[in-house]
Amino acid sequence: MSDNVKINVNGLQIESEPNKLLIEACEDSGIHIPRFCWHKRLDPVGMCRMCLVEIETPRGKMLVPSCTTEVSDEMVVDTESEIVKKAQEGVLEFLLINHPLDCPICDKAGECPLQDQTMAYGPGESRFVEEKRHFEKPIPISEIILLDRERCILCARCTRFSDEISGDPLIEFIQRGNKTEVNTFPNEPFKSYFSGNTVQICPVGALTSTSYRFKARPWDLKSTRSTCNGCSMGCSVELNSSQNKMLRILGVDNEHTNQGWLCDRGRYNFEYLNSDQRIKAPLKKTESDREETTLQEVYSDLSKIIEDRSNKITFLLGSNLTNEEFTSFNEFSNKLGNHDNSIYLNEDILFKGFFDENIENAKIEDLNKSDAIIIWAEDLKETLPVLYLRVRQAVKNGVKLVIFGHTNSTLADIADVYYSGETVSNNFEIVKDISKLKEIKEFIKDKNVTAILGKASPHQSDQSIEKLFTYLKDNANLKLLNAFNGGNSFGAFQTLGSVKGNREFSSEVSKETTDLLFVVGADPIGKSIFSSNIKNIINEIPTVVALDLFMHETSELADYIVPTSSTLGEKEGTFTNIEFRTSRIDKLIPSPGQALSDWEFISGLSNFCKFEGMSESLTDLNNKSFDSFDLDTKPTFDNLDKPRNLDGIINTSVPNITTTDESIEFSDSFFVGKKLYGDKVTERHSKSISLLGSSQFIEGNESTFEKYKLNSGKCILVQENIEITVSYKINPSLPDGLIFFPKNRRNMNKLDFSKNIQILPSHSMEVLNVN
Amino acid sequence: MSWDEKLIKQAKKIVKLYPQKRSALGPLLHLAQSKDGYISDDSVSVISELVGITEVQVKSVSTFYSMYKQEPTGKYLLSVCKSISCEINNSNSIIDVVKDFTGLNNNETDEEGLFTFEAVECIGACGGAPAIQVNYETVEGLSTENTLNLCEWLKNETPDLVVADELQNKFGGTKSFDWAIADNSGTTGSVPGFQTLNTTKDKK
Amino acid sequence: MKETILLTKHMRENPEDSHLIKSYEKSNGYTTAKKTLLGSSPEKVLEEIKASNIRGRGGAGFPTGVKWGFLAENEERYLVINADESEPGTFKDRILLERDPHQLIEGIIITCFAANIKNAFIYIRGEYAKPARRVQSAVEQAYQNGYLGKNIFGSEMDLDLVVHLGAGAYICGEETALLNSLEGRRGEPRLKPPYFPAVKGLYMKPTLVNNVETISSVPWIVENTGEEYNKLGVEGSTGTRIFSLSGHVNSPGNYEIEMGSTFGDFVETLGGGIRSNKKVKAYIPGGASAPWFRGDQLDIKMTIDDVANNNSMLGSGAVVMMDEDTNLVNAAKSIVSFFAHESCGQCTPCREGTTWLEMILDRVASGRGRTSDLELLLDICDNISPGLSWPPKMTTICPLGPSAVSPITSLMKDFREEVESMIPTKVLL
Repeated sequence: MSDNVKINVNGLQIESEPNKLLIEACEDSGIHIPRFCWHKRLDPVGMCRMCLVEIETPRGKMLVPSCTTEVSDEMVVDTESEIVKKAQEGVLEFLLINHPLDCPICDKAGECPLQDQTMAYGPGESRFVEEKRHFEKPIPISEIILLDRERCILCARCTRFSDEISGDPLIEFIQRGNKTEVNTFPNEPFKSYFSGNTVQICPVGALTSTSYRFKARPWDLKSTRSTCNGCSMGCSVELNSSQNKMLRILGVDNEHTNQGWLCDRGRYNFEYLNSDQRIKAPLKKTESDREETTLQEVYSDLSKIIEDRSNKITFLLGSNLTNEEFTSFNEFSNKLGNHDNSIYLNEDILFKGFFDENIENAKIEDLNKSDAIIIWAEDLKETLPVLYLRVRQAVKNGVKLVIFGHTNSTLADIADVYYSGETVSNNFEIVKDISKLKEIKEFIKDKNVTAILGKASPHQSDQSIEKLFTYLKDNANLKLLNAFNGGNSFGAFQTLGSVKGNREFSSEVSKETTDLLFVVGADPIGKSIFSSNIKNIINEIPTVVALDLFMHETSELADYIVPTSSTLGEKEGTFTNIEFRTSRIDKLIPSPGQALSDWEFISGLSNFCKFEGMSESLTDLNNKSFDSFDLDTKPTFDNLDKPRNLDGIINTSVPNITTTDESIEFSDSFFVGKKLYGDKVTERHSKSISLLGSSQFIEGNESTFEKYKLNSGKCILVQENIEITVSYKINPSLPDGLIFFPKNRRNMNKLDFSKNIQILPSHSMEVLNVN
Repeated sequence: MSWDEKLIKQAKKIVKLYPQKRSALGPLLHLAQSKDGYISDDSVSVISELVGITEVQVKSVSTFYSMYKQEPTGKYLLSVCKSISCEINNSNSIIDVVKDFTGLNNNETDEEGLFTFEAVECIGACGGAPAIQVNYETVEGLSTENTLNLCEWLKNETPDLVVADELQNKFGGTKSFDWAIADNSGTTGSVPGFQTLNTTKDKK
Repeated sequence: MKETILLTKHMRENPEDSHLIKSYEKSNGYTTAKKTLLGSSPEKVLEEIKASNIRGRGGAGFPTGVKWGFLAENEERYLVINADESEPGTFKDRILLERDPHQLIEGIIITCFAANIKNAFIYIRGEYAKPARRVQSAVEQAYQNGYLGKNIFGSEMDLDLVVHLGAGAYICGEETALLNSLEGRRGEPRLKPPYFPAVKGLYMKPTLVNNVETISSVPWIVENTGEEYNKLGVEGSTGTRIFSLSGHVNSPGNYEIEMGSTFGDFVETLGGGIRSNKKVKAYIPGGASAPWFRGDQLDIKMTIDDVANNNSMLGSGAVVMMDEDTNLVNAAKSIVSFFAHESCGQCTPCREGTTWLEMILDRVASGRGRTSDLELLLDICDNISPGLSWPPKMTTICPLGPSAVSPITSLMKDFREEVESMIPTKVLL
């Protein structure tokens, strides 16, 4: 603290870290300076001129923008002088002369910085008698974003975000001077995974979301803070609802995780909550169909199976459950005498990872503090989008980046080294002696390195990635993030005794091992690469119970379907992210119909079975989930609700992931992975984004597709009696001969990736038929 | 890409002049202007690939500068200066003559694609005010009569090559300074005649 | 008074071919550069420049030697010649580019030698097609003769020079906007701090940005010593300077003179007086950005400091005379619309304010003014340039916005009655 500088603001002495921007230093000391263009997470541009203050200089008092002026020792600042006030009033008047007076129909009204600051600092009346600048009222600039250029005050927040933060500058200033407008290029929409952030940081109603437009008034909104469970990043969010409907999700600035940003799927994948397709009552399969039943009847039927101790019971759990629910299933499973080898997690890429006492788990913020970042994992942009932003930020701050192919090619542009085809084979083996790769050595030898490691494709062997890990461990001061990306998978690791995945499920489970199967919040038949195997297994197991929100390819095969609450907004609990940070999941809206939390169902069933010693409340489950942790850092509800813990608490632990070591046999000619948008049932029922994951395609480089003689833009994937017509996209960073299949796109689950897939040219007639 | 091989080759030569590719953006936009008489969306796409930025980034730059035209221009771009020295030397009357003759308002192009008219800010011919540029070739010391003559001559002769010295000799008056020896190089199209752009030619 | 001919000597003596390298060589061209590269040192050159006390000819008048001294150490450094001459009233760089491009190139070679620079650019405004052609030809000739490229004059020095054409944006004359433009970006001025070109300039590398006339003066200074140069003109405004004279004078043009005589003397002798023997109503002493002087202020001396002490600036050396018949509201409107058109649009007060001022002046000029418009004009000006003082305070990043204020404050201060007379006093209902 001794390095701090002392400055005088409005006669008050305040202290600040050196080199801080004046506007921030003042903010930290409770002195608010109005602003539009300045945003804590963006580079300052000093454009709106609202934050002008007076400082004393050897040449007298000077007006300077506090967002571009760094504090210096003994600086004397006046943020409220007559000159400052006059300047601010002037800026507001200038901004308003061309701003439409359509506040009554503007989504932003009520939470609009321009409106608020006009109240606080603005002139009382307008002296502008000329005609305002006109633009066509809102124009769609993507499927999910609308732009109203008349409202825009040209603060450059959206353009800076897309350029600096997300790295996809598709929205820019066009024209100059008084004619300046923000816009996209014709036929080149604002197709960014992160576009919703620009709506959130827009200081006026210029950028709006289709999903929220005209839906509510800010003062009618109920809100709560929660954690996004879309991937293992665990972004802090604020949920907004009105009249018991979820209407909006905003990013919360959690310094440790998302720093305010969200990916668009995390932000917009909520409309399914209000879908009339939600299952609202328990269903039971009949001879020909299924019929509504009661929870009591389900309990009664199941308890009969459970009471027969010779019956074996298995669980396949989705990774979107809360920690408390995982604990509840674990407890229940233990009661059944199953111990923990009967619980499977609905994850395709599960392997033992790199966890032990000798490996230091990285925190996300370590990325910024490292000398270098090494990445070999599934595509971060598609699977951990906000972690991708954090990597970009670290590189912008000067951290070196080394990428191993072939999945993270979107980071290749900013990477210092990108190891592609010559170093990494098509089945993801490093074919060169790592110790002889001189580029990587230069960046890591005895340096602080943060690695993000995980299997790049399900068919990558454990040994392949271990080889890189061992090299890094031996040569650098290594910290590591295990890149498991499934929702609350780290919560599952922590709370379930041991964990296995879909691969183990499909090889171990059968009617011999299982009489009763619970499939909870999971659609492996629709989305797993082991789909066909799992389908066969589910079909032969005598009794299958699905706990889910919707009917889908897996739940429709179940004998009993129990409607459950969504982890998003309909449940309380906790979530643990990729760095083992546990934070709150909160409830804002009621569940539809008879839907109940998964733990409530288990609790009810346990009661019915007269099991004793089971946790009886959510608080019990919460406490039990973190039994072994220190009292201080135990992420109990009480602890997490303390102001200092709102951003979550880290408790690293060593999970027990008991996967088989055998590699999956894949052809060298393809690999599979996820795209951010797919056609998961929740996405299909979220209108705003439902089309974003609807296209079907494969990716490969130009010469690969040439070999297949593709030229019409479409091709046919053929396997046994299956034919799927898809388009093919050129991805120049893929090595020759390697083709990517996005497994979460429609129909991809029909393919068996352990068998050969033929790719045939599609003739134009057939293309017409498809469309 | 819809630029022909020759143009692409020239573009790549320009890119090589600079330590960083993006610096070539300005000259490449001039090149696009010389190709079509304006910056077409198609050229924007070509340029965005050549310098490695997005199309809207190219558009953002191209719309910032007044010489990159966003709409097709005529064979002759008539730019009459209206800044202070010209303003106080009756540039308004010159503007009126050009408007009357062409029937065009500011920033309009006639249907034949012959003339585009614009009233522009200072072209650095203040000593020879009022002044005009035809395809960025300057004519100084205009009278209303000579302005009309200039327009008629362009319409009747439709020269492919526009040369400042030739126009000045025919239609100009007081100059900003002694131009000394006459130059015979000029330009074709609404783009400055400049070697790097291959837009300058010599009149025989 | 008469002219002092240094910069314009070669072109005057060789009107038929001054732009060609052979002609320039005949006038002993490139000998100073050769001598310097082969026999002098960067330190010595810098000493001469400092001793000359030459101040930048672009408009701001910053001492050139001091500017060079600020250039930060780095492997990569750049020189950018600002030939984006666009200030209304100014056409003095045009003659140097068109008529004596080799003098500029020689200045560039010497400057790069002094500052250890291997890459230089000449940024010429796009509308200067003919000057740019002449410079490009000259650059090509210089390469052919081994004056540019590798091992210049057989020395160790390498230098590449690129002529870059602008595309119609006055703001690119502001040095940081010029650098953005040269990088292929929008010509928006950068924030100072932290982007001082001498430290973070082109591609964020240390960069010298100098005006055409300044660098064209370098060969003379180095050849004849800074001391000799310093003897010309007056203290604070040494050497000669090319003034662009325009407006209602009999002999408009570029005149190279030593600074120190009065505007009245200048106009009467070199400018041949005001046309039709009319009186001067007002004049602009240093380009459109400068506040005006009244016709009874012709005895002000043409030095940087004298003009500044009278609350205006010598700026780019553009003198515009407006006679007694001039409609000053129209004149002011012309200047304000210039700045409104050329505003880059970054800063709210400039983007919105200049256009608003233009709209009001347009109303007033066309007889639709309101009595309240006078105070409104001044108050808008005050919101762009608080206090309406000189040198101007600014609510903006760069001085473009405050420049639009100059003609209005001049009008209101000295010619208020003329404005009032244009406002209809009675409203017909």
